[in-house]
Amino acid sequence: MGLAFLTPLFLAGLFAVAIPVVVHLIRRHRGTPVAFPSLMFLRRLPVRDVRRRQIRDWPLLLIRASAVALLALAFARPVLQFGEEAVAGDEDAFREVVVVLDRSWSMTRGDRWARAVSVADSVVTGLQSPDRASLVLFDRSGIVAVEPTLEMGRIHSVLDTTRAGWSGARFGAGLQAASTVLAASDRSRREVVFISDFQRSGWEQGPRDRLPPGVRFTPIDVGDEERRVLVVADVALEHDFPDGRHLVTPTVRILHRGSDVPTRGELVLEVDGAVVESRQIEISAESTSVEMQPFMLAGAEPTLAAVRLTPQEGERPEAFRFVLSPREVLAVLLMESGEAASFLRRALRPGGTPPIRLETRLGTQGLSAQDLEGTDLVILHDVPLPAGPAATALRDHVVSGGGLLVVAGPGSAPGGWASEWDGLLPGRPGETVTRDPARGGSLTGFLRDHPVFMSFEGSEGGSLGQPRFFRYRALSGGLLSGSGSEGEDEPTSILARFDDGSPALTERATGGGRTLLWTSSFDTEWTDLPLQPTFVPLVREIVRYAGARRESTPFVTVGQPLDPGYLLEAAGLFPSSTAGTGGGEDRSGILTGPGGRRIELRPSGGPVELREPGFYDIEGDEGGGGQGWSIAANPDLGELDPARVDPEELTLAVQGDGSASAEGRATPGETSLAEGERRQGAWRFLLLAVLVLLLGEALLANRKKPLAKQVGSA
Amino acid sequence: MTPVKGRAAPRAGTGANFLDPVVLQRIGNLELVARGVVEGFLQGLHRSPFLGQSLDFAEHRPYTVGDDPRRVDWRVYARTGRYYVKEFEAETNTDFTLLLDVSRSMAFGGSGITKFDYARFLAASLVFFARRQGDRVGIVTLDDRVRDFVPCSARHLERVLITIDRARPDGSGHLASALEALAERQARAGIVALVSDLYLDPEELSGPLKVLGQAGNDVLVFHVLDPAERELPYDDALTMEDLETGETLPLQPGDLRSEYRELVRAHITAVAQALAKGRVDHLLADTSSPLDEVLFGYLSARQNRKRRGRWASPS
Repeated sequence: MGLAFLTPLFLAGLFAVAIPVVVHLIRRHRGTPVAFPSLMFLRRLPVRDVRRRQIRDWPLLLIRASAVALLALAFARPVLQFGEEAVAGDEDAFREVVVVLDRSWSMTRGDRWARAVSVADSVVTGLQSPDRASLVLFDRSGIVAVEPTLEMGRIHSVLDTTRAGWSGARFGAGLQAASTVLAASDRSRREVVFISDFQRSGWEQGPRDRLPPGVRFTPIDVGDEERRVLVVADVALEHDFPDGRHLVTPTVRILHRGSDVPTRGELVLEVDGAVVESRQIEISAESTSVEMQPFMLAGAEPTLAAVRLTPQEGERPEAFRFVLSPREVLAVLLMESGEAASFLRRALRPGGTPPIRLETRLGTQGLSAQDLEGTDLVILHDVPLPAGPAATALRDHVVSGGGLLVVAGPGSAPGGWASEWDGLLPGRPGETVTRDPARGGSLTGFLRDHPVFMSFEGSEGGSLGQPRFFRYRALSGGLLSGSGSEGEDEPTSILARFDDGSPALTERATGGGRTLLWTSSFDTEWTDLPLQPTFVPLVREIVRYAGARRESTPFVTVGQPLDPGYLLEAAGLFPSSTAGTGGGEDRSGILTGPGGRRIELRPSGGPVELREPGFYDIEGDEGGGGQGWSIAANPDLGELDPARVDPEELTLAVQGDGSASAEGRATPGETSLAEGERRQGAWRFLLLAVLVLLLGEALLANRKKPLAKQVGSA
Repeated sequence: MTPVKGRAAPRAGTGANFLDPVVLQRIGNLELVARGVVEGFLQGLHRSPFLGQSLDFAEHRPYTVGDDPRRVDWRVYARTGRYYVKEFEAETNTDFTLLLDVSRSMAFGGSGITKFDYARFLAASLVFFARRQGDRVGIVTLDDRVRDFVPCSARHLERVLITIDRARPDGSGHLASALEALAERQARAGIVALVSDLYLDPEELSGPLKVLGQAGNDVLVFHVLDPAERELPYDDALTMEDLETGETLPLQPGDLRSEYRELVRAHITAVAQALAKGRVDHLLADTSSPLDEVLFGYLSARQNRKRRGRWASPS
């Protein structure tokens, strides 16, 4: 157990202990003279220097000196400490300082990082023992790099080895990490020193982005005047499939800020390490888009591509990386009758994500398994359901993992029903339902968490409720029955309904694939859906889902959390068809970064965060299974935003509860208050002891001098 | 001269408490105090015989059978034609003059009663006692001059007590000049008793008193002292103030106590010796002592003086 003092300056009052001693020695005369009949005898006696008197009444002196000393101790507010707290003496009176350091990409600009580290070093060096300090590093996420410690050398060493990264900044991440440290602290004086360049893009206050009450927030701005920014901000990819080839045309968007003068630079496109194109370009004062020459993708392996911009002024070149792969392309076979599917064809044009390679075929006659080879999705648009080998081929296609979308429009002629369709179609299309020609029907009852409708979440279905449906087919038989053979098939699900309750979109999984049935049409004969803005996204979401393709991007941003399941699935190590069934739980992979850093990927693991730009390879952990995959990571371009947030504004926001005083004097939290009050209660007992001593002093002093009572004149 | 030894043992009963000066201080009526002291004193003492044969006229009363015809006042018979006899109030043979010191030093008291109160009680008791013996009583209050003067008379007991009651200690302690003036005015020999704390030079005191003694007076001095002014019981450093002059003196009493006591004892001895040379009796009256002790000392001194007088007178 140790003893500390909240107001140690009052300990100077201990010098007052000398007062009773001096008074005892000096024996100063009482203020009121003692009357005496005559001094004629006393005047005859030699006068002695009373200052040289010895202490005659030790008990009285000790009582008075003790009372003075205890009074000084009581005003010094002693605090009792237990356990480790006592090691540092009056530790509670000292500070708990959290140094929060921004290590986002923007901190690499100029000498910001060097100055930030210097400031952090100065802050830590300026702490008084036993102030306790900790270090929090943050970009998009915050980590406690050094837990609260009394050894400042640990923080210095971490600062020496830490470098700013490539990720964007999120101030809330740093504040939350600091709050975690402060919440575990029992010290009453708590401070956060926030060192950053205060980019506006890093501050979007969330409900948890507040410091605990009573914490002093000290922002230190190491930002400077924004210099010129000249980087490749984005690459848009246009896919085209002429003559069976897969051509990709990148369009490079160059961001040029901080200068009103156009400049020039060299733009280089590299594909798999080889320079495909290099050109000198004019860069305007704002932004410039440059369409590069198309290049062809071949094979099943991913293609690693990068665009490098080398400014003319000799600044360092910036690269923008992306990954392409033929497997990204969704191969769709559209079987139609006539031109009825013109709206559908336009919706499935190659641009967009995922890239779709569309083939069309009139009718289903002569359809064989060879025709379906390499096809991800077959769309039967308003054509009669085939029978015989065509039906068998379609069934085999679905069972083997392919997708089938049946659009049961007016030309679907659902009269016949081959046995091959048993257990394949999610319902038997029947008679046509005709709704009021003036009002029609509408879509309601979506499965909002289904992948098809997930992207429409937030619109409350308003956009999907706009289209009017005047006719559609009623479904009967096999619906929701799960009547598939041998118990392999999943039951049928209704993904969307019309307002009269009739199914609009149903799904049935068979083997490794799935079949979707749209009970109306994708032309304007039965509905005005193709004329609505929701048509294209709805169709593409249906196609993407039916074709068993998840959205993939050619690049991700550094610091962006990634689902390991997605990465494994993209690498073919964790097929989406096995998701949730437990079949892929044991499969894991290794993510290898540009610096050789390896990260284990498990489907059930937490999000993966890529810390540096470059290409990352994904492989099976034991070398077996999967085809391998690569992803590209680029710096967070939000860090190029020159807008800055006022540090004072940030201070007010994080201390918005107003509990912190202007002087930074910390107020403990609710729990700390009660605990602190309990530990600081010793002053009451000291004052009580002083009172008892003074009473004893009065009794003792009066008992010793009964005859010395002053006598007044009569 | 020291207080009478052997009478320090307290007497049992209420009388003993009534002689305690601190208890007497609570009684406002000075006559009652004096009466109580004297009666209480006499209860423990055999009545002493009257001294003297003198008669003072008190009143006339009608003659009755059996009266001595020699006491018939023939002058009254000549004026009125009726027989009256003279009544004499008491038999007296001397004047008892009390000299009370009213200087400011008498206001000191360290043990529950001031010296002046003690002196008042003592004076009243002496007067009452003298009057009870048939003496004529009078009083003089004095400091550096005579303040109040009540001549001796058989009827002045009440006036004397009133004078004692009204006296206040606010004068100077230089009694010599007042005593000299009194010695010059003293016409008739009697008993003179001075009650004072005697803060003056013994030689200055003995001169006038010797004159009084040579004039035929029996002079007694009651030296009233408080125990505190004899012992100096203070411990802490303090500043003392002279009650008469107002002078202050910072000192450490504890260090001076023994020397101070020695000086006080030497002063008392010097006073007693100086008074003895002038045939003046010196009685030490400690304010912590019961009054009957002082009265007994007074009687003893009176008897000793009579014996000395017989021995000294030519046979």
